[in-house]
Amino acid sequence: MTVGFVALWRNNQREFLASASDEWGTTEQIQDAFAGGRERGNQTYGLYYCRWSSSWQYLTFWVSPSLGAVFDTIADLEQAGDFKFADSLHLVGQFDGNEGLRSLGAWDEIPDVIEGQSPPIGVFLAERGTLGAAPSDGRHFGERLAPIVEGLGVRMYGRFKCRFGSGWDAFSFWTAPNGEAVMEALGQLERHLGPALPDLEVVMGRLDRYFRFGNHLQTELTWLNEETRDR
Amino acid sequence: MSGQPASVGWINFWKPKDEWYYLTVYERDRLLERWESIREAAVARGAVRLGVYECRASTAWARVALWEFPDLQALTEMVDRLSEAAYYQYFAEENSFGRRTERPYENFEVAARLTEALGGA
Repeated sequence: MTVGFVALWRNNQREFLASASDEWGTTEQIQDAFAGGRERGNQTYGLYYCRWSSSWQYLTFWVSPSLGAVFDTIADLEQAGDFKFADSLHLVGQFDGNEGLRSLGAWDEIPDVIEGQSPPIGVFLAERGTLGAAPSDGRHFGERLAPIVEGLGVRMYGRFKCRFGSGWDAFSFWTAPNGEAVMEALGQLERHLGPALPDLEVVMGRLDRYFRFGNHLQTELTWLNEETRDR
Repeated sequence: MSGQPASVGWINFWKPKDEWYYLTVYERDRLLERWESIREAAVARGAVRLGVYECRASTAWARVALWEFPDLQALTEMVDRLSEAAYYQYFAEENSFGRRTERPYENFEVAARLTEALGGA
């Protein structure tokens, strides 16, 4: 069962006070845990900075071949001490198989920061049927969505059913060339869907190449996508 | 979408973390001065500070600041600079933003007309 995984997190006070050896020792263990995740088939699609748009600091999205691959990788991250530095919200969902909500080849491309261009924006969208209506099945959403967003340069990474593990019916992940494209896409959905628009919670983040640990960027280490590309 | 990006409104809820209270007055003054210079630089780039409001009576936060930025990049640059200057070590935030519109009801009017055309009325 192909699953999608979204993590939203923000650093805690311990991260600001960590020693260099704790920072880099833990970082190394985390890298090993992610490498194990890649061996299990997890694909990660970038690190997105979202402090400016939400109560969270970072957002990331994976596609995994199984729920077990996600759980095992999270267990390894727990052992690495990843969560001692952050408060996190995790969401896992089953790919709903709707290819209309997945841009062609989306899972084969890892978003990247291109020198001289504004960094892509990553978008997490959780959806739920509005009160009094049936649960959102993505049908109306999907029929309308593709033509609207493709014209704006938005790439869709699929829709994942997550009612079994959250208060939402499903979540999706998109990337866009800039924030304006996302806002335009959401505005168009308002116009076209009207009362069929599900309740949405949206978090937007800017694709970053380096992770900020405490107050500094870890410029010595590029984010995981670079490693993935090198494999 | 027009060629000119619409300005971006920013709703910035914030409160001090515990650590803030335990800094010396010198450290607090130094940080406040540094953060203020970062905000002033954003204003010089076209950001508008509409005000800061006490909001404990109605939210889980202490203050809410309302801003308008010329574009998203101006906002994210300010947040990056504050991150670099230890702001988030001492203050917690929850933020929301939105694209400015002069026609806030237009989309719903379009959708309502469509609904009517589809026999939904």
